Amino acid sequence: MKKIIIGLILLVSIGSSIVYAKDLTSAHFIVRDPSIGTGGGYQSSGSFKLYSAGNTNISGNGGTSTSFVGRDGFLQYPQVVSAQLTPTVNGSTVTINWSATTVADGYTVSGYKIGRATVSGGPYTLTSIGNVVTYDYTNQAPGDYYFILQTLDAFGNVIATSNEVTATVSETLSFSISANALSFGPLTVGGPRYATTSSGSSTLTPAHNIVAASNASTGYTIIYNGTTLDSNGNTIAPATISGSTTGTPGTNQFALSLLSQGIATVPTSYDQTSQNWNFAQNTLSTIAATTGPTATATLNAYYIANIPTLAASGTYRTTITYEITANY
Amino acid sequence: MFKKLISNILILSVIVSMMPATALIATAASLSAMSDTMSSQTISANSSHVIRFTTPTGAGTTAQTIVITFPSGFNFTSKTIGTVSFTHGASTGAESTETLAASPSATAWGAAFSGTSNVILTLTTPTDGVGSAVLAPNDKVIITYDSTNSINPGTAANYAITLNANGDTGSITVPIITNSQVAITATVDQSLSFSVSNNAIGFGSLTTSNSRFATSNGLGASAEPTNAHTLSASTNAASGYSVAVSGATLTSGANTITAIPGATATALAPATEQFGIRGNLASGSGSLVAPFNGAAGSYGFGTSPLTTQPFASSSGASATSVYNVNYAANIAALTEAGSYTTTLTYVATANF
Repeated sequence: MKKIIIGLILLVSIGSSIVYAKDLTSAHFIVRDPSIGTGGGYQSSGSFKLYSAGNTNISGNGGTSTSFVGRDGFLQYPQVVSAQLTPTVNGSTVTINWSATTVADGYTVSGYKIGRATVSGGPYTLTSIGNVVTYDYTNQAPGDYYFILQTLDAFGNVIATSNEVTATVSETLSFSISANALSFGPLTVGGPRYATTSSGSSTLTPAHNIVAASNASTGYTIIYNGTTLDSNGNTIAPATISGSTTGTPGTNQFALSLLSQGIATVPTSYDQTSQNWNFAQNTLSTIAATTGPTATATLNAYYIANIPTLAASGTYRTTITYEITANY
Repeated sequence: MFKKLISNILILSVIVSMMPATALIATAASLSAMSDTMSSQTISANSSHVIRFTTPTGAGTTAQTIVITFPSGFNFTSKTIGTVSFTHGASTGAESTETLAASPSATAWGAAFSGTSNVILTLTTPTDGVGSAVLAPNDKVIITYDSTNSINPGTAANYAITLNANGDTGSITVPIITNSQVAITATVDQSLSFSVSNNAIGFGSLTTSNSRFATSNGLGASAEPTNAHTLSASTNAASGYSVAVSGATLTSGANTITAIPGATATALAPATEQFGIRGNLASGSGSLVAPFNGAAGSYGFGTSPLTTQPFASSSGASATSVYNVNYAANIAALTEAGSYTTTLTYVATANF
C-alpha cells in the first residue's frame, strides 16, 4: 500500500512541466556568464525549474541562452555569508544596521535591497539602497515592523537573503517652542507692534517657531489657551483681524497668527498667509493640525498689538500655553 | 474508552450550555476618540488632565472597573479623589456626572488611587451597576483631574497613559517638554497732556460800580464771559490727574487787591476789593475743586499767595478734559491807583 502511495506522489511530480537539465532549451531563460545555480533563493522561477537527484550545474560561455551548455554535475552556490540585521528604534525612526555581506569564488556585492513588512514573513516592500551598511526608516507609524535584507551580486541578482528581524515603533509626539519669553516693547497709537524675543518691532516679524512632529496615524492637533494682555485689570482687547498685517492702529487689539511651513494646516482665522489674526481668551483653540504621520512641521507664530489713545499706562502681561495632542 | 470520551464531551457540553450568556459574548475592544487635554505640558508643572474616550463595551454590572494608569514620572501623591470628576453620556454635552466615593455604593462609583505616586486611578461600578446613569456601550467618557497635586514628570519625553475600561483598552501619548508656555509683555508708556489756551489776559479798568472779568483780549468785560482762557488736560494714568494753581493776588507795587478768602466760593460784591477765580468743566471728564467750583458769579481764591492749591482733578484715565477759567476783580472806593498784575501758574500732575 505504501509503495502505491509513493508511486502516485512521484507520478504527480513528474508532469509535463518538468525540464531535465539535459533537456533545457533557450526558450525559457538566459544563462549569464559564467554560471547559474540554485542558491540565493533561485531554486525556482516562473520559467523553469532545475531538478537533479544530486548536484546540478549549468554553465555557459555567453550572455544569451543560445550559447550555454547544461551539464549534470555538482551544484554551485554562491559562497555568501549573509548580513545579520540589527534594528534600533529611536522615536519614529527605525535604523537597520548590518555588517557587509561577505562573498567568495569571484562573487561581488553590488548593493542591497531592504524589505519592510507589517506582518512576519512579508510581503515585503523592497527598496534598493546601494552598497551601504545602514538604512533609516523614518517617520514610521506606531506598530510592529519586520525587515529583511537581500544581497545583490554584480548583475543585480539576489544571492542572499538575511533572516527577518522585527522592531516595534511606539507613538511619538515631539513638540517644541523656540522662545518662551516675548515682548512687544512700548505700544503706540500710531501703528502696530509685533512681539519679538527682544523688545518688539514695528514691522511684521515672527516671534517664535512652534515645531512639531508625530507618527500618529491620524496626525496631531496643536491648541493654545490663555488670556489677553492685562495690566492690573486694564486689558488690550482680543481681536479678530482679517486680511491685514497692521490691524487697526489706534484701536484696542491683541491677536495671534500662524504661518505654516508646509505640512500643518492652520485654520483660516489664524492663517498669516491670508494676513488673518485672532485670539480667543480662555478657550482651547486649534491653531494647527495634521491628518497623518508627519515629519517635522514648523509654524511661525506672530503676535500683534494696537492700542487706542489714552490706553491705560502700565506693563501688560499674559501667558499663553501651547499643547499638542495626537488625533486618536 | 470510546464511551468515556463521549461521556466527557457530553458533560463539557452541558457545562458550557449552562454558563451565562454574557460570559460567552464578553469581548475586549479598543477605546476610541481618546485624548488627554492638559493645562500644561511643561516638565514638573502642575497640570490638569481632561481624559476623554469612547468605550465600545461600557460597564453595566457591579465590580467592573475603569483604570487609568499614568506612566512613571507623573506624581499624584497628594491628590484626593475630590479633585477628580467622572462624567459620561451618549453624546458630548449630555453627560451624566457620577458621584465618586472611596468605596462603591448604590449611588456612587468607587474611586481609589494606587501605585507609586498614585499613578493608577481605579473607578469601580456602583453596587447597583448604575449610579447616576448606566455606563452604556459607546458612551463618551470624560475623567478630569484638576491641577491640584497633579505634577508632570521632570524629564522631557513622550509618556503613554494606558486606559482600561472594563476590558476595552487604549493608550494616549502625551509629550512633556521643557516649557510649553510663552510669556508676553508689553508696555504702555505714561502720557499726560496739558495746555493753557491763553497766557496773557486782562481786566481793563477796574471800577467800583460793577465787577470786572478778565478776557483773552486784555480789555476785560463787565459781564462774565465764557472764559478768559481754557485749560486742557488728559492722561492715560490709571488714577487720573490733578491740576493745581499757585500765585499771588493782583499786585501793584506794595498795593494789592484783596483775594477772595475762604474754602468755598463767594459771591462777587462790587465796591469791595475782591480777586477770584472760577472754573467749570466745558467737556470731558473731571471736576473743579473748591473754592474754584462756584456757580456763575461766585469766585474763590484763598489766602494769597497760593501755593499749589488743587484746582481740578480727574480720577481715572480720561480723554481730554477742557475747563473754562474766569477771573473776577472788584475794587473799593479807595483802592490805590496803579497797574495791578499777577502771574498764576497751573501745573498738571498724573496720578500713576
